[in-house]
Formats: sequence, structure tokens, C-alpha cells
Amino acid sequence: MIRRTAGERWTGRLLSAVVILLLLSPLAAVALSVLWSTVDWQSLAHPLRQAGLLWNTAIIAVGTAAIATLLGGIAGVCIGYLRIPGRRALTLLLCLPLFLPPYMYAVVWVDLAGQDGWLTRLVGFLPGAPALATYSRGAVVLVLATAYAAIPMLATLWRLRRYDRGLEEAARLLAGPWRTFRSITLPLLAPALLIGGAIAFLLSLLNYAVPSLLQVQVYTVEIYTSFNSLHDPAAAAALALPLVLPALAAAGILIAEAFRSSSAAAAMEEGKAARGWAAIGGGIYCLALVVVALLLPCAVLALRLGSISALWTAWSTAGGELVTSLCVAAGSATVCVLAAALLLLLPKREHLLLIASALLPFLASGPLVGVGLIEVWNRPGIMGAVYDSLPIVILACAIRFAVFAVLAVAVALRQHNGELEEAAALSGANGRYRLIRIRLPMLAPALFAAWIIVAVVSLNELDTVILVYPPGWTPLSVRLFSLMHYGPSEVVAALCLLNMVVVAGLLAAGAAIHGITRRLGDSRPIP
Amino acid sequence: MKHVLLLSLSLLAVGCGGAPQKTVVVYTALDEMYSRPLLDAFEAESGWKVEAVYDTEAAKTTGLVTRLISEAKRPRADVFWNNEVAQTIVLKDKGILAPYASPNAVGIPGSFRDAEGYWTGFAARARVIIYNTELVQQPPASILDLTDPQWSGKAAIARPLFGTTATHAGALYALWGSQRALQWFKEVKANNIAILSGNATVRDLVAQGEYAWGLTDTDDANGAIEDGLPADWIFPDQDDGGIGTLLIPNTVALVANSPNSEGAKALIDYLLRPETERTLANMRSIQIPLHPGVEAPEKVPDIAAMKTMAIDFPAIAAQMDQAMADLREVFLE
Repeated sequence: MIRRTAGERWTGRLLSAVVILLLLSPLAAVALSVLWSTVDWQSLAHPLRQAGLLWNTAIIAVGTAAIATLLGGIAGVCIGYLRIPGRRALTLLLCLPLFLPPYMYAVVWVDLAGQDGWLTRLVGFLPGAPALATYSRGAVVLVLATAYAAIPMLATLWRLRRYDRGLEEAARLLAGPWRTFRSITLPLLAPALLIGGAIAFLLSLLNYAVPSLLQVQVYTVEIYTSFNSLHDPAAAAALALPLVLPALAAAGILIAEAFRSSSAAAAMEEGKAARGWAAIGGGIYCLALVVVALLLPCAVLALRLGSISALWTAWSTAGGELVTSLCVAAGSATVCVLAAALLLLLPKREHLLLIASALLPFLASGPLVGVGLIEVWNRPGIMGAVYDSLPIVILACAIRFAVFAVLAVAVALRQHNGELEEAAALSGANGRYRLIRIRLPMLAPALFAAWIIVAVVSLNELDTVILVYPPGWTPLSVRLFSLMHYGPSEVVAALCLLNMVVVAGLLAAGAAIHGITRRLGDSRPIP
Repeated sequence: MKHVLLLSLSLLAVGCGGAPQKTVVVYTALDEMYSRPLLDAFEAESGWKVEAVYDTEAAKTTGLVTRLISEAKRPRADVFWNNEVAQTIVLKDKGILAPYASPNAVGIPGSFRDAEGYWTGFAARARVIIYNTELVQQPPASILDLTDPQWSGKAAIARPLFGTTATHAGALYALWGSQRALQWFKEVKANNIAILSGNATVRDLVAQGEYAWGLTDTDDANGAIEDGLPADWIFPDQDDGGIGTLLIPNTVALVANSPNSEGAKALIDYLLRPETERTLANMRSIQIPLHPGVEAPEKVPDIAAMKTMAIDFPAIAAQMDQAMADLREVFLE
């Protein structure tokens, strides 16, 4: 068990209180405005309106979760269980779509499935095939499932490194590989698939940009419309209520399962690589997924580019916005990691408050958080100085995505082996020494991973920053989304490709440094 | 890790610099490709630095309007440059704007200016029917054809909750009364008319042949023609019994309690010059000058030659709340 001094605990509590205030104040401001306003509940609760929105939202969230889990789960099994050749490269390539803005995939889909799109022409050759519905629920599900398939894959890989292979080996003595997989391995992987599916469900439930671009009416689009066309934040907040329960349920499953699974130690030995048809089939499947989720969108965008000079045009058009977004990404990631690092000072039983506080802004609709930020920060003095400058955008992203950093650190802490700290304490090391020289380095990989994740999602954040970015500090996501509504163009394609390159660079650097920090702070149990 | 921290903190410090002293902040709904050159020219000529916030196409105008309303207690913007008029009047009614009678507004007809001086119109666009020349030989002559069964599933409009389509909806509410207007929009929806995210999308999909025709604005329609796409446009409802087309000016207004009213007035004066209208008329957007005698290319429509809707803008603005509440019900079920 990790011992924390009284000083650490109280410092952690004090700083956590400040962080919780920052996280929850925008939502509190919006909640107050709902209480003080007259909301037309009768109109909002109109059965037809609710039925239509509920149906569309449910189809998209459940459909995305199911398909993403299927696609990503199979990929995870191929890479982590069958251990096909080239698995590290495949993992990185399949992770990349996760960090690209899903609305980029919507643009690619419209290009492919539009009137003169390749896919439309291909389907046209197939006798009896139905016409592609470019703007439809199915299209939204397809786009989001492609973007989020990596989540169940990563969850599967994580689980495969942590379950007891002894059961499998015992089963193999009596049954063949397929029966063993079906009866032993698959049930053991079920929690991971549940986690991955819950995350994909949550992200698609809260996504605005893709349903908006593909013209499907869901709650997030309705909230944005209420907010923007009727200037009614209170109605928008009220409309967000039907999302709260399923979002909380999914988040609850995710956190409970993540904590339960994290207590399992890493497996002592890794499985053997599969051979023969299984390996070939697994490899072909993963390559096909890479083609569909990554190479095909790149090809479509590259073709739309027309010429290399379009990249330079895009840079001169929006290079400033890209730099702004990188600054925001770095700033918000740093803030989130610092906030998450407070968990190192708190006992595990006190983590839940910080986790819950970080979760709520993520589950809330982006525009609501934006309005809340304006309400809280647009005041005279130092708060106004923050509001009038880039830090407000950094704060907006940090508030929205702190949950990623906090959860990553919370899970890592549950895996953390306290024996080294106890040994150091017995040897006379004080609390500060143990925190800085043992706990922090051992958790550095988790902190770094959290930094990368928050940086990448902040790079693509749109819903909240569109309301608060100050003049002269336009983020790339705002620029890109605005241009996208004019249809796929060379500049849009070039900006998407530049965005991809930046994200790929961040991930590659992150993977390299993560490998180094892992070697420095490996917390495997001492045999 | 600490290097990352240092880098981020320094970036934070840079970001906290705030705006220099001689800065004018403008929130503009006009597409950046048209508004930025003018703002850059104003910067070069006046010495004022301009910081602009542009809107996204999807939330045309209303996103900025919501932002201005949210920031009312402590405005960040000095000038609001809208590409339509109804939402500007909404802002006036909410007390977000301050009156300013620019000397350059004198030549603009009274119907395009607020009587109390809160906003001034300039460089207008008109609502038009855009059609695909490969699919349609005889284009529809009226917006009422949106309810004609022969066009079921073959026409498109932008979602009438944002931008000029929202203004057009407000105009129909003012012209026909709310009951008839609502019924008409329900019939449009029942006729499987596609409801798209914006006027530019309508233009693109009509030009691509996804739809035979649609409603858009003169700037978007002209863009399709300049791109060499198989599209053309006409003014709707121009016959004797027709309601005419809606002419929608850009509007510029001073934000109440703005941080820099001096710079704001300088920018407003600049935007209301006849030279500005000439510049906008010569751009791809072919915005129609309202100052008399402004030279414009031949392709720019002549106001005198078109039949416009007999409705005033305050009447349109007065209908916006009702229209938006009704149409949200119709188009979001």
C-alpha cells in the first residue's frame, strides 16, 4: 500500500478543490441559468420530437458501439492473441484514425458516396444493389465506427496483457484452439470489449460534427440548434438532459470495469504467435482495416488535393491556426496532467470526487460548457484578461478533456506496486523523496500517455472552442469545420492531411518517448 | 516532462498578452474570403489593427449573435458585421447595439437603414433559384414550386434556422402570416424537399446533380457559374402576381459599450463607403451596391430590374422568434 503523509493529503485536497471548482463552475453557471429561466418544457418534451431524436440518437450510439467493438475487437485479437507479424506497426496505424477528427471521415464519405463518388459508381455496377444513402443514420454509424474502432482494439490488447493464460493452457489439453478461444478466451476478453464499447458509445452519443455534416437530427444537433438559432442556453441545457442517463451509465460501466480490470497484474509471459491460416487471416483482416480506416481516406484527400502546391496554399491560409491549435493542445495537456497528478497525493478512496468532477464537463454538451465559460470568465480584472486571450481556449479544452488524464492516472495508480515505496519508507526515505523519486517516475508512462491523449483530442476540439476563442486566435478545427461546409475542396483536403501529419507525428513521438519512460519506470511486480 | 511544462507555460504567457492598444475587434458573418481583404485594406489605410472572429457556415450568423448576447455584460467586440439583417435587428432589440449615424450612410436608401441609427445595410444579396442545367430545361419560376409534387425529392433548401434562409423564412411569415407560412413549410417538408446544412451545400449538390434545383443566394449561385459548373440561376416570383425575391443587405452596427468605439466608428465608416460596395460587387460574391451610381460588373443584378418582396426588415425581425420556434418543430422531428 502506498503511504501518503498528512501534508501530501491536505495539499492534494486543497489543490483538488481548486481544480474541481474550475471544472464544475461553467456547468454550475449554466445550471443556474436553467433554474432562473422559463423553459418551454411542453414543447421540448413533445412526444414526436423526443421519439425522433431518441430513435436517431440510440441507433447511432448503439450501432457505432456494436460495429466499432466488432471491428476493433477482431483487430485486437489478431494483434494481441494471434500475435501476427508487424503487430506494433499495425497497432500504431490502426490507432491513428482515433486521433483524427471524425468529421474529416464524414467529408471523405461524402466524397466517396456522393453522386459521382467512387463508391456510388462501384455500387452502381452491382446488380440489384441499393443506392448508397450519403446522408443517413447508417452513414453516421459507418463514419463513427471507423473513427472509433481503435478503442475496443486497445482495450482488447490491454486485457490480453493481463489475464491468466494458465486457464487457456489447461483448456488446450482437452480441447482444440477454436473451442478454447470461444469458451475461455472470449469470456475473459468480455470486460475489455465492454469497456471499448462503452467508450465508443459515449463518444458517438456526444458527437455533434458528424451528424451535423451528414444531416441526421440527434440530440447534440438539436442542442446546438436551440442554442444558436433560438439563443436559448436554458432550452439547450434542458435538451441535454436525455443524454445524461445513458452517458452516465456508459461512463459508470467504463470506470467500474477499468478499475476492476486494472487490479490484475500484467501477465508473466506473453502467448505464442499463431501460425498458418490463422496468422494469414488475421494479417489480411488488419491490413484491410488499415486500408479502409486510414489509407483510403488519405487517398481520397490526396486526390482531392490536386497538386502539392495546395498544401502550401493551405499552410499560408491556415498555418497560423495550426500553430494556435498546437499551442492549445500543449497547454491543455499540461494543465490536465498537472490536475491528474494530484491523484498521487490523495488516497485512492478520495479519487472518485476528482474523477466525477472531470467526467461531468466531458459528458455535457460542448456549447453548454462554452456558454458557462463565458458566464464565469467574462468579467473585469484578471478573469477578463484570461477570457480575452488564448488561455481561455486552453482552459476550455482542459475542462472538457481532463477526464482522460484523470482516469489514466487513476487506473495506473491501481496497478502501481507499492512495495518499492514501502521499502524506501523502511529505509528512512521521507514522503517528498518517495513522491518525487519513486512514485512519480513509476507513473511517468501513464502521465505521458495522458499528455499525448489530451493533446491530440484538444487539437481537434470544436464544440466548445467555437464559442470562446478570442479574435486573432482561431483554432484549426474551427477553420476546418467552416471550410468543410463549402464541400470537399483542395484547401480542406490539404488541411486534413496536414492535421493527419501533425497527429501522426505527435503519436509517433509519444510512442517513442513512452517506450523510454516505461523502461525507466517499469512497475512490474517483483517475482 | 519539465521541459514540456516550461514550454507550455511560456506559450501560456505569450497567449496572455491580449490585444495591442489600437485594435478594433469585429465579429463578421460575411465569408472570410470576402471580408478579410476589406479588413486588411482598412488596416493598411487607417493604422488600426483589426482582429476578426468569423462564423462557421453551419451556424451562419446565429453563432456570432449568440456569442454577442452571451458577452453582453462585457463585450469583446467593437463592430458586428452581419451578412444579413434579421439577426442584427434581434441584437438591437436585446440592447446589444448602440446607435451610430455614419456620414457614409447618407447615400443608402432609407429602407436599408435603421430609423434610429442602430444599423446600416450595404452590399446586398438576393435569394435566387439555382438549377442544374443538365437536369432542368425549364426551371421553376417560384419558390411555391417547392410544394409541387413534380419536384418531390428533387429540390433542396438550406435549413431555415440559420443565415439568409432563416431571414427568408421570417420574411414569408411577415408577408403571409404565421399560419399560412407554417403550413407552407410543412408542405415543403412533406414534399421530400432536402433540408441541407447551408446555402453553399445547396449550390454544390444542385451543381453535382444530386438535386435538380434549390434556393440559395446570389453569391453562392454566382460561385457555381464562375467554377464552370452546370448551373444557372433566376430570381423567383418575378411575374405580375409574384411575391418577388428577398433582397438581403449586409448590415454593420456598433456594439454597445464596446472596448474601442473610436476604432469601431472608423471601421463602420470605411465599410459604408461606396468604394467598399464596388469592391464587393467585383468579387465572386457579386454583392449588389445600395449606394446609387456605384459601378458594378454586368453580371451584378440591378435592383431596379428586379421585383423585390414588399416587406420591411423590422417586420421580418418581429417574426423571427415565432418562425424559428415553429420551424424547429417542423424540421427537427
